[in-house]
Amino acid sequence: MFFVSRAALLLIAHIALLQFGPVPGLSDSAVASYLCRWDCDWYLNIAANGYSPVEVGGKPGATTFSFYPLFPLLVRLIAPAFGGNHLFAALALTNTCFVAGLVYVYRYARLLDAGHAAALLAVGLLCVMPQSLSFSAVYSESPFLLLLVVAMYYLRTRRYLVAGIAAALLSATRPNGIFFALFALAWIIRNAGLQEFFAPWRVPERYLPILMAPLGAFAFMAFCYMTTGDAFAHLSTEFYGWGWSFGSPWESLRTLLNHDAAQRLAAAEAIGVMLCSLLLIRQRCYEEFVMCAALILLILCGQAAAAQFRYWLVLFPVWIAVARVLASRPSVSATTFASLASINGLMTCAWALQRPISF
Amino acid sequence: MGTAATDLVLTAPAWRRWLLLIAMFALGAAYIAVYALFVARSRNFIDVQRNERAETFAQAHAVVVPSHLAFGEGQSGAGMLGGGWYNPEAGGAWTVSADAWIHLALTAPDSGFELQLNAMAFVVERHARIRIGIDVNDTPLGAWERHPANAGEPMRVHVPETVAKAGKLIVHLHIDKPAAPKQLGPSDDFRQLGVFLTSLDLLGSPSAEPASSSR
Repeated sequence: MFFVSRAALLLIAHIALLQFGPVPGLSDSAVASYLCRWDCDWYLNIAANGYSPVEVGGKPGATTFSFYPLFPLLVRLIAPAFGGNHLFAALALTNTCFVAGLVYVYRYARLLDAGHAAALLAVGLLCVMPQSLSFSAVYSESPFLLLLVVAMYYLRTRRYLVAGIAAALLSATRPNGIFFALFALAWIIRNAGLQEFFAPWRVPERYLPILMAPLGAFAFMAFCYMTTGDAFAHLSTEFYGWGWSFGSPWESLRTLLNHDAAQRLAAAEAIGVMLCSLLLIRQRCYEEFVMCAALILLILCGQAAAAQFRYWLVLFPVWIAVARVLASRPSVSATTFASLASINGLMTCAWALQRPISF
Repeated sequence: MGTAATDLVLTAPAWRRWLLLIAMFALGAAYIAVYALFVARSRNFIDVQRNERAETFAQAHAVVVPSHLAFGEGQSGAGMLGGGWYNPEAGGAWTVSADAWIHLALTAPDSGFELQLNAMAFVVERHARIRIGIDVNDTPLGAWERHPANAGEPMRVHVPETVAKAGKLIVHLHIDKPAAPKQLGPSDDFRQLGVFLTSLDLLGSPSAEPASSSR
């Protein structure tokens, strides 16, 4: 499924580039370069040169501090194995993480008592969802997916230290990784009960993942503070350089709905994800629902973030829930796959041409 | 597998469990302490960088009273805009956040003077009112309320001799509260706009317009 979906998406990108000509400013026509768009240069720059507080001329206020460090750090570490080519190293890393992530998503689905078909369907959904190309591109989505599913899987199987380490790495990958703590909290309360929850001396190990989850984010904040004097350098540069600010979720939705067709499509997807997340309640996956609901609200609060399809992709418990519903309905399943794949194809064209979607 | 792991945990010696618990409490306390430190000591690094840059520019381009500084792209005052401003456009510059700074260096300041900011506040039907406060070198000098009827009125304050004598002036605008056009209607402009500053006048005239809280 991984290979077929990647090959199809790369072929679409290739055809789009042949049809509409080369992307201005991007001279490299190698296939690997199709997977290097938008934020890719930022990650590769951090991997090659480290962080810099200097604003980039063409984008005032934009600095490398906008990007969390684990992914570029790993790229830097493995680059020597690829002859120092950071692009190849990054692509090897993201695709390996994606494959491993899919394996764990399958195992996680089985852990939730999903059948073999439903678990495979969940994996398939992740491969065909709109913007799923970002899992194979130079983006931190696939390391994030892998670490999130690993942390959740090992918490559910009571390997607390492994879950804690994965959670710490997760919050060093993207700031919203810290929301894993909500899942862990809900899981402890549900499994041990409230009385046991307030008696942490009985099984203190259980709380390790919660306590370790913020470690990665705090380490990055400490680094920011030491290098710039601003522990919140990430937020500062996102605000100035990318115009990101927080607002109420309903404001974001209203803003999206009042704009062009592309934004309305993003709003429709946001509402769709919210509705799909309710399936988690129906399937009694309350812990997963708590975490996904919090992440959905966070994405919606982030104004421009709601328009980014890739942010929804990593909410894999929602896709497992959807897959469990679809597994027994082959025709609905096929229609859903076809629809998602069509939108994904369209988005891959826009990605290859490095253009925002507009209708 | 899961049950076996739980059993191991439950059969761990009591001292180990307590040690782990204490370590975890220490980690939790450390998070709170470090976070409090970060909140108290952090300064927006982009504002700091831009303020430093503007201060250097202002020192190299000292002004006299009276003067007129324009803030459009490439104009005389643009380099004096510190943190809190978007890059100057053709006619001026928009504030980017609730706080914005302008750095001025005065040549031979020997008395107080009038400072007039010619700016347009971002107020529309669905965001009909904002408040703007001005302080110079941390001395509050005036506050205004702007609505669609008076959005373009200049803001004028008297800078007392005690403040002017410092020679180095940091004009701080506080805006409560900016808004993004994209949130208010059919616009793609996601910037949090407060006021659009076109120019600034340093006037020797003693006739100060009294600063009040609601004009």
